[in-house]
Amino acid sequence: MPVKERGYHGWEGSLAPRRLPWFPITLQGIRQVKDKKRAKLLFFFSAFPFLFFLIGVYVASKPELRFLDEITRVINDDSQFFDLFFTRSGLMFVLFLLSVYAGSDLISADLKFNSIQLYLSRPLKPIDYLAGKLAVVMFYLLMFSLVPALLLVAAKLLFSGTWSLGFSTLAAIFVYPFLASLALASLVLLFSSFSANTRLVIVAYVGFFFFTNMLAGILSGVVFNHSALGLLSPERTMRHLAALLFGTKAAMAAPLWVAPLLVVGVSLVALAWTLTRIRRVEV
Amino acid sequence: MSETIIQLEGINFFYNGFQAIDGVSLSIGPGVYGLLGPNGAGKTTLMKVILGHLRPAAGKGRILGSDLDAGLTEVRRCIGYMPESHCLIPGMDAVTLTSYMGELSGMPRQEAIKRAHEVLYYVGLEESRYRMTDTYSSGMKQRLKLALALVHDPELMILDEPTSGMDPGGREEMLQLIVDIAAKGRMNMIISSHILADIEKTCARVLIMNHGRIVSEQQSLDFAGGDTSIFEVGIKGEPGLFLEQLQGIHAETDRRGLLRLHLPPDFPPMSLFRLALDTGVQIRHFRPSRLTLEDAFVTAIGESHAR
Repeated sequence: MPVKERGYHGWEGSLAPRRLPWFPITLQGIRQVKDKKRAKLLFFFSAFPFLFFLIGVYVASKPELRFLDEITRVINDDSQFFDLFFTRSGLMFVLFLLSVYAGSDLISADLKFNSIQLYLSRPLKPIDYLAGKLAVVMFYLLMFSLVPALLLVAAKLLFSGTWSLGFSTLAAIFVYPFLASLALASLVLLFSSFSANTRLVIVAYVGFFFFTNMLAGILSGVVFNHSALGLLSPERTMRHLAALLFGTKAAMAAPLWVAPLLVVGVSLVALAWTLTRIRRVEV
Repeated sequence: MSETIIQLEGINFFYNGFQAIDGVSLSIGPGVYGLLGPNGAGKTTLMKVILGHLRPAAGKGRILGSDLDAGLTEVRRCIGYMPESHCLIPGMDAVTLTSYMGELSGMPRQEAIKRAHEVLYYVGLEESRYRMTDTYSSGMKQRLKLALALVHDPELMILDEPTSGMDPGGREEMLQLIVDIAAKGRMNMIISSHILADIEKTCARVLIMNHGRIVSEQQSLDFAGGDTSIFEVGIKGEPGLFLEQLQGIHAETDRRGLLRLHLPPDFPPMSLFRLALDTGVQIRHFRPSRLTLEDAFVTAIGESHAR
């Protein structure tokens, strides 16, 4: 039909400022990640640590399974239980995989398809764009760390029938996954802002973790024989952080307060750097 | 209709020491304005300053009533921008992308979806609105960009090279759309292009830019044939004396060797024949001419080079 016959019609509604201007970016990003290839498979495997620990909670609540005494003792110690869940259950690897899956292309694809200018020609600042993207990764990481942890709290309550959780442990259950997710999300977004080639981003991000872990291992165990150098490894730093938050035994000789400082510091530097890179994109 | 949409005074902008905008002052009222200039004239940079993407090194201005210094993030809610370069968000169909852009501008989600269907239909993408946008052709991407700029029914549209990469049919339809939107949508527009015909067809006023400066401002109506004081004159014989007698009348020779005479209002065109008779030349070609945008463009660019 010719244009003239169709005719242009305006829109009668009114445009309202949003309190969280980045929120539509987050919602759209969440939908897009969910619709990616093999997303459901990854989400299924990501739930394994939770399922394993859920079985543990069930077993601990059954007096007839006394032969699993050692396990029961650990499960009944809330601090140790959640420290184990967050740091030794494979959850860290799951979160790492999720950060790659959900975050590696969030900025790099926008760079490739020149779409940052689409965002910034709307009433959005670069920081809103970054906040929207950060929230996408944070959503998936918290969905597989904080949410299962809270479900485990509920399961413990359900199976034991008593509330044994101390305030500090409960606070740690919230703080630890938040800080871990923030660190992973900000790092993956930083790497994502480095290149328009998502494969390159993934290789660099995986390489960074592999290299820092290896370097930490060599420096702390072979060259200097000082466990504090393990802080060079993000994974060991996160374990150190868990030791501080859950009050468990630290594996490194470094002061415990260094871990949150490092995690928050690295996250903030990564976010500031990413923001600078977004601002530098020619709109 | 006397309100000012854009007011700029003494705007300067530098790219790594290179002055891309040089003391631009302009006042844009309601209607459709064309921004014309050769490549590198500073058109796109000026548009980015207007959008608040680039902060000028000097100068002040107001865009839709908001101060340039105060930041223009909120003003962009009322602006629809169609960039020159191809840009889309991968992994989305046209409806999702268009409604998403509407949402980012502050439309409620359901309204944005409904409106996305309307504007995609309007720009002629109704058949392919559920196709992934990364599979679109160049012309379709241009239409999609127009839909994205239109979805929130902005007060001001800024179109950067809107017909770039389109085939003649698509280009014609895009220009029709622009004219239709301007007429029916009561929308103000700035269209940047280096295609003179596009500007001539769509704009009421034309700003010509060169070397980062506004070198001329023209009424597009001047090019539509209303000015009858210009005549093309072909002469046989020695024109020296004839031209001498035309003192005070602007005369230039075009590519075909014809004289183009800009006659003042009190100079009756028929007296040229008397003058020819008196100076011993024959007038072999005589017809009213009109000032084309090309003439104005070439003159303005030529003058700016001469300065």
